[in-house]
Amino acid sequence: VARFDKLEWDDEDAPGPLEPRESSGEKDEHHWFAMAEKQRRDGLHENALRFYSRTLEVNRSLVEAWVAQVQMLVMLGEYPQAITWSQKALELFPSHGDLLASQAQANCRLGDFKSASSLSDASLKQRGETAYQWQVRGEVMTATRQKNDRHCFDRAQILSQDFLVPLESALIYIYHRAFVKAQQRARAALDRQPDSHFAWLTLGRCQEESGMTDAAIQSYEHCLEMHPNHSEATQRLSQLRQSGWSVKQVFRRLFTRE
Amino acid sequence: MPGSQLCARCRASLAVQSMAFDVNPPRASDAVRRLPMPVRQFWYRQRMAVSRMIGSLRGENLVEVLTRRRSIARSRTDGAGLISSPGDWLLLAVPGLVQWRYGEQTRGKIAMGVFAVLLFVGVIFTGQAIGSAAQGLMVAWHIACTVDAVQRAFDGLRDRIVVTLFSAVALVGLIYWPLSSAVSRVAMPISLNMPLGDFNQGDVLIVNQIANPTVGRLVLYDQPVAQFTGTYRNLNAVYRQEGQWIGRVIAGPGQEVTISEGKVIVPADCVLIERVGGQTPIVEGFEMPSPFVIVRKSSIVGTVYLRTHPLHRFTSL
Repeated sequence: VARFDKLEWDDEDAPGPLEPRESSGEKDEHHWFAMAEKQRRDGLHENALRFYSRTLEVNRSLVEAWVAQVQMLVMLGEYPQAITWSQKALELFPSHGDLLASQAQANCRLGDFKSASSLSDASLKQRGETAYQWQVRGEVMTATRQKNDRHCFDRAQILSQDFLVPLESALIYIYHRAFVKAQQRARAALDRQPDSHFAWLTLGRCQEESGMTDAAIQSYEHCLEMHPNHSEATQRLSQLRQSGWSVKQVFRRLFTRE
Repeated sequence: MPGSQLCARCRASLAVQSMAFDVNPPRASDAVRRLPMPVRQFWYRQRMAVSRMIGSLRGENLVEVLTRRRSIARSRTDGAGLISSPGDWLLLAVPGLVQWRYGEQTRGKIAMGVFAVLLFVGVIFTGQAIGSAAQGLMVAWHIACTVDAVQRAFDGLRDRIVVTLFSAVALVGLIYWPLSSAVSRVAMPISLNMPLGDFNQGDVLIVNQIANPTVGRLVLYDQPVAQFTGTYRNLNAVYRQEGQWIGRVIAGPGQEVTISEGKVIVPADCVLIERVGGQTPIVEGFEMPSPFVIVRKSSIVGTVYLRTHPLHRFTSL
């Protein structure tokens, strides 16, 4: 029996590796990671990136924080830096699926679809599929105008019940100017987390870009109910209320990509 | 294995915690972060394309690489260049179309894109230095694209020089010379070298040389030589008026016009023109006797119908 003493069993009561722990008052990696996640869920990617870095200062072996750093760099539009950083992380964690996927995402944003596809393939071949890998697969398909992107994002949503998955899928669609699909994902995020002001803001952006001005105003108002001082929502709302009829909006409505 | 730095299964580092390295990611410079996202993305993509190209050449002899690419291109077309049928010669009229048709889409896109940009700039800024430069570059670019498509079948330097010269002469002689002659008949740009009435110095006007100068239209005409006396810096001087001027046609041949100086009957084959700018003295100290002038129809260069520069004053006249 002594041979089996060291075997690891799932302990359902114990906190997960990245869940904040009750204890101590000391700010450990779990504290910083939780802070980063909160900022990310509020759409504050710059702050989230800083907190992920703080997490890694405490514990460098947290591969989730490395992945999240690259994801934040991509969100902030710093793609060459994201590639550099994912390569560095891959030196420490070779063939890590999410790191490969993050590099694929950065390559995709830079227009290098060939590398992006092969990296995405490689990430999905690793053991243990994650929502992020499927999101990146979906993004590569969206960017290359293939038709199975919906399936990939659906698969990501099945793998994780976190509202951030459909929300970041919506952000991916917004980046590729597929606002109708983005709207569907933003609604899915709101179904999971109706009190997320960032999800309402994202939905409002999709509606605004699709030319659905009234719906966008309502979404921004919901966002401001939950976060009264949100500067972007305030600004967009006032712009929408002041703007009248415009040719640009009509064209947007007519030619929005499905 | 105890003491091992790497995981035996996945090769991940087992000493990450004890390694000394920065965990703060590199960031884009402030200048780049201030750029709007589409501009930033365009910048990144161009930079990446260049670095990829340099990376592909790194460690190789540039001459060898270019030679190899050239031989690959030549073998692909069996030494016959990109022109394989008589109809392909017609495609050369549009830069990049031949390359596009024979599988070199990127090359074709670049050729057409650059040509389109130069054409656009050449048309918008016609009559100005930048427009002329763009038109010149456009012709040169077209010649370069044609040479690119044709010369692959030729090996020697002398052959290539001949092909280049032949292409240049053929394009200019068959396309650009006839085209520019035809276009300049209906759209000849002129640039004003002095302010005249509502027109400012440097304005570019477009003249139609074949339109009939009807009453009410602005025309460009050859001014009959006229001399006026006056003083200039307290010295007696003679002002001589000649060259091309702009005026509005007041009356046609045989028409009778009453003006403040009296009654005028316009002779046959002539028109009465009111000079643009009227009696405004062109040189201080001189008085222009009358803004009206009778001009032979043969002296009219054409009708002025468009002002294209400055762009914010683009108007039909």
